Amino acid sequence: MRQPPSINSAVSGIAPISAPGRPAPGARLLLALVAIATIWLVILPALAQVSTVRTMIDRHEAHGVDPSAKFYSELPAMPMISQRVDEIRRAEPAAFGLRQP
Amino acid sequence: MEEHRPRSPWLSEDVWSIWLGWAVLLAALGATWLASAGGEKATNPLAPRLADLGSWVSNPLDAFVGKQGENVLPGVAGVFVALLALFSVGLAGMRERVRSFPLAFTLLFLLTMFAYLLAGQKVVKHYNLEYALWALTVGLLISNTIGTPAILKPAVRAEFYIKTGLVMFGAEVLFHLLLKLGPPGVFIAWVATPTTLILTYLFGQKVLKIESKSLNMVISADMSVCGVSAAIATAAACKAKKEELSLAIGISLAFTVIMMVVMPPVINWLELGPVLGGAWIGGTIDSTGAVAAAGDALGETGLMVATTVKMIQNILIGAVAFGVAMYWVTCVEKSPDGSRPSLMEIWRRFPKFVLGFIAASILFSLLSTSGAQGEAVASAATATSKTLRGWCFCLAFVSIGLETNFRELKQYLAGGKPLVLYVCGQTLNLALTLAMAWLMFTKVFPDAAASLNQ
Repeated sequence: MRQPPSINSAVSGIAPISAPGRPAPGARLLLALVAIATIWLVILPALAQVSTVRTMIDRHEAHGVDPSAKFYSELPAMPMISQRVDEIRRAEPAAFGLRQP
Repeated sequence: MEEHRPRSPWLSEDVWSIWLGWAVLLAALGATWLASAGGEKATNPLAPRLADLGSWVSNPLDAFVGKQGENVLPGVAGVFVALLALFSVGLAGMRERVRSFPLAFTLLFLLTMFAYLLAGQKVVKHYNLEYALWALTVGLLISNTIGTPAILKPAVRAEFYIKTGLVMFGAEVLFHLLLKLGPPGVFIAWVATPTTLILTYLFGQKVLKIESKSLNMVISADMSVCGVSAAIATAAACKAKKEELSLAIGISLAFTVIMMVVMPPVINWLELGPVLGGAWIGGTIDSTGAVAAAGDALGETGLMVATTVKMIQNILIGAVAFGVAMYWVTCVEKSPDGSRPSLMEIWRRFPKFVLGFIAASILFSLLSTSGAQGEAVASAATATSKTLRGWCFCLAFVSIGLETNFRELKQYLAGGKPLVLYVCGQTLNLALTLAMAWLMFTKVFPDAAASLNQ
């Protein structure tokens, strides 16, 4: 006789998780997708129109700041900042504990 | 990350991730070199053929339009074709079944695009809720509702994507940037940060007695070095479980958002100024993007100091990945009889992809310091690997979500130890970094602060 999937196989994503009294797996996924659609298509766009949030986004974009960057190389402003730091350091290397080139 | 099958090292993911990562780097370097020969400007002809999705506010279709108004779909299709070809070759090289891979990879790539789309909404993006979080969410939603469909399974290869992405990532870890701010930058980013990492790890082991050393290490590294990217590199180096990486990233992102919002007003209230405040932000907030956002709130100087300190700290990722991998194979993974492993055994256990990562870092560091032309070529060439490694990491996080469930995650939160570890480690990080920045910019190198302030 074929055994039902064990909890371990279910929790490992091998089989859908269903339990008595809970909505069917497909229905739960649909509910989650509706929640995502509501948040991303209604709530977040409305939040983006709030003046403080809009000001923050505009300021970041004007200054080349990408808050989702994971590394310095992903920051649009980094080449300009790097160049500016080089100029400052070259102008006064002793201030940074470096010798004259 | 754990590898399941004991096989010949030449057929392992570690070795094939090096081949694939280096194939991308060499192709990009070669194409850039050829296209730039005789010209004044370095151009990478491969770069426009690959693209990320853009950002949007209320219409998700805006994500398919680039910054210059161009359609990014061909670029995304280019990424898909390039990665499908790369990983198919990799699987064939590892003597694994390739036939069912293309369809599975296509579906996984569509899920990854969906995660990128969620991360591209501007409110989400500007509050530093990175794609890693949404990629995990997309995977978790599927695995915890309908279960991961069998058709997707051949492409669920989180470790392979992470290792390949990390080898490409090595090209962006440029060691010469270490001296960008001279000794003050070195002391803030390369003395305070490793000290915090080591002390936090010891606190987790000796005081909190966290059962999983790899979870302790991943949280300590992502909190003290640079968030998600450090977590990915360290987790791969210490063979952490996927759930441990997910948990560490979740905690890090939650605290990063809080610190990004709270630190600028606190710095203004304490009247630390943009140099000291910027250095404090750069040395403590996990994510590079959040550092820039918080530094920007302090003004132009704050942004400059914060991002430069963070950039110097970013470079530490190479040393940390290598150090953690060495520590793990020599001290943590003991031999069955408890004796120290021999050199051969260390070599056998060592995660080889770390060598590919370090070699890429060394080559691109040397190229960047070989003159203006070399720097321009290195910078143009990394445009290709930067796009591809971002997609690799996103594919990996969707895969991790597809292999994880909420109950497994819950067991790691038992007793709230990971949260306590993060909070205590971050408190130490805040104190140590502020003390070091204060010492450097007010006592030892006050003229450096004055120069940066001008």
